[in-house]
Amino acid sequence: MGLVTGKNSIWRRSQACLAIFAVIFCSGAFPTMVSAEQFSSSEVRVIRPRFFSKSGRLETSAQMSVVMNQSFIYTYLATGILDFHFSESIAIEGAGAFGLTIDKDDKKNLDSNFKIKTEILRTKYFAEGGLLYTPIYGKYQLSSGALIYLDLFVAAGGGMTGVEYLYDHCPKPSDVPSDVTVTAPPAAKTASYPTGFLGLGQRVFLDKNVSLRWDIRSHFFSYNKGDGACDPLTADTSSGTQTNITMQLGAGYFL
Amino acid sequence: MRGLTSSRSAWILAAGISISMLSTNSFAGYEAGQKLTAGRDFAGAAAEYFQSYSSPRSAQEKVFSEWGLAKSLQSLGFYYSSSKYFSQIVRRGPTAVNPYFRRSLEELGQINNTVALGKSHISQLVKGENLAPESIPAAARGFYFYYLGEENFIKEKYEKSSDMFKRVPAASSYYSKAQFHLGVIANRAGAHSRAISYFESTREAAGADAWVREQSALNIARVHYETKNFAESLKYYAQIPRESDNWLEAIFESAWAFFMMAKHNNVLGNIHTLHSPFFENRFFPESYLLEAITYLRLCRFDKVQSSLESFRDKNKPVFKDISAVLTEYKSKKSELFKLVYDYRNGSLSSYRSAWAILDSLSRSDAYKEAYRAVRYSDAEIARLSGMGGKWVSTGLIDDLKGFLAKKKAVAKVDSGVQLFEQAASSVAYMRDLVQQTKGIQAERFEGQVDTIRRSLNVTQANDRKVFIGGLQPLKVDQQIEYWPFQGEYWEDELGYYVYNLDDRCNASAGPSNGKK
Repeated sequence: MGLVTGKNSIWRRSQACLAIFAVIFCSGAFPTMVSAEQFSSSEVRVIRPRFFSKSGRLETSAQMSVVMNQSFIYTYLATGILDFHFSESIAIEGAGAFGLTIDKDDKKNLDSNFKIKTEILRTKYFAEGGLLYTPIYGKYQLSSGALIYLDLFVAAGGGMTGVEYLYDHCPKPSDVPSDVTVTAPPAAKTASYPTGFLGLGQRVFLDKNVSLRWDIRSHFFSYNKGDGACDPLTADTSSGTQTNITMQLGAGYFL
Repeated sequence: MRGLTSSRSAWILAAGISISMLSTNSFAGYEAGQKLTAGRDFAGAAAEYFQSYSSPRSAQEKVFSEWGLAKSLQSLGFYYSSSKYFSQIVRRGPTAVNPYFRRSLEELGQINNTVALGKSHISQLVKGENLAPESIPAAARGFYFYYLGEENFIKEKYEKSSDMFKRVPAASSYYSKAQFHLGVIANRAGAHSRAISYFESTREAAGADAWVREQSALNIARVHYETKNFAESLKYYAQIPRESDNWLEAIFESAWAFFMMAKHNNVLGNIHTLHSPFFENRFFPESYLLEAITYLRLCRFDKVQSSLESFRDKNKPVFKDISAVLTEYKSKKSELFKLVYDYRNGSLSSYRSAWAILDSLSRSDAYKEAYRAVRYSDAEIARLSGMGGKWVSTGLIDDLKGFLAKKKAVAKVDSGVQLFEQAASSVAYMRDLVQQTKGIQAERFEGQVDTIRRSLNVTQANDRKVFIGGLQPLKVDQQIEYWPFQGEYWEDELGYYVYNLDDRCNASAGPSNGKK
């Protein structure tokens, strides 16, 4: 028999919460993970074929990822994920994302009104592999009476993050008085850095093959400050650390 | 047997009538109707036909107008109303002066497929008939022989009934139902394999008719149960979908199959579903006794007592209220339909404790058939109220409304009588169950199960299969989900409960033999 988990009757009392976030955010909405043996004390049980079985299946997902913790730019990344589920609880995952950044008005205002140039780490892509552990499988009844099945997983792994340097914070010769000499900014480039990630996510199963999925992930990497310097000769070559928190929303299809 | 003039004679007569139509004015009204029919003015045609039918200038005009009227009403979608005139034609039989007999029979068959005419209506058509098969048009043979078979079936003339059902052509929409009845007859005769074969044939022929398909599955399950092939019977009970009206019946009957296989935790699981608040108004009093003898079988004597008490607590008020219903309606059985109707549409507030039986009655064919007849009749009466002009002046509306009102009344009376009989048999059934509780009590006091085991012939060798919820055997490597029952019923969990109780009978003799 595969993973067995249980529902908690508290779920039914949590109807006021949005179903999709019920497991995470509603007080007391966590079901208890239990094993088959733990049911031995239960006089009456429901025993039935699992509504959604993941074991031995390949999950393909498409998501839109948004980096949440950036003050001056928006970063949107089209994300593809492949997971292979060895069991109901363990899967390996490969993910790739590629996208673009858009400057926020704040950044433009600082520049135009106060001549403040902001140095930005623009995430161009990430490619990661990792492990998923799904400890919780449950169901939730909506106020309409409809049932949704869902699971909750944690993820960890590593990969590479590509950071795009536009050097748009660097002064151009035209920006400075004629008696001041500045070197021309370097050409735009993308540098890649080894990255680790931790994540938490949830699937809401729509049928036997399709699920909606969201993930919150923390991607952390160390970068060379010199890579973003306007003048490589005078650059600070020490390391900095960056954490990108992504919110990822999408859908998955199980093959 | 009605004298059947050959169809050739009928055509000669019809040809003669046609010639006379040309030479006389005795068909003026009918001709007016025909012209309107040609212009697709069926409402106008119906009024003209009715006029010439009511005040014919000749006997032939009456015959022709009657047919024209029936066809016009049918074209307008007044199926019940048209059935009045088609039925009149059919009841006169295949005589020389009744040229529309065959076609009317065909039309009635089609109408019955669209809006059920009801057994009482059809039985009037086929009652006492012994027509030569060749006089029944091919398109109407299914309809005709099926109902003739059913008529004989009700009278328990199974051999004749079987003959009639076998004459229903395979292409007919009545074929699956005929095969079903043949299965029932074969099973009554103890021909179990043949019965299963008929029921399988029914399933294949049922097409989109889910009710017939489910009834076939239920009957196959019952035949397997009778032949002590309990695991096989469970396969068929499991085919009844959860949303079906038959599902609870399958859950209850399969609980008996589990009991006979000594799968006591499955028995109790099924009964747990039956006793859930979702089915508060469903009538399964026997489930309490099955629960009691299951606990007895597990030597859980305290639970036996509580099951018997539940039976008494639950059914005593039911018995009291249904007895009051029978007393009140004994002299006005026909009004029982209205009581069940009121229960069904939620407007009944009396006899609260008898609602489980009223619910059961509301799911019976006797009620459903009358309900359909009333609904269709009301729909046509409402439409008739919107028809004016010549329909009023000729008296057509009054004629049809009178027919429909009578049809409703007959349907209610027939239904009421049948519902009363069913309610009375429910009371007798409950009385019988009360007697059985005494036997179980006696066994409980003796603390023995051998007597019950012997009387029920429960399988001693436990079937090796392990059944999970949903009447399904556990498959190798199957992914299973467990949910503990914590006093809260979830709709999606109904039917999947399995108990987790040890057999205590061997506790005194040694270690438990585990869960069953």
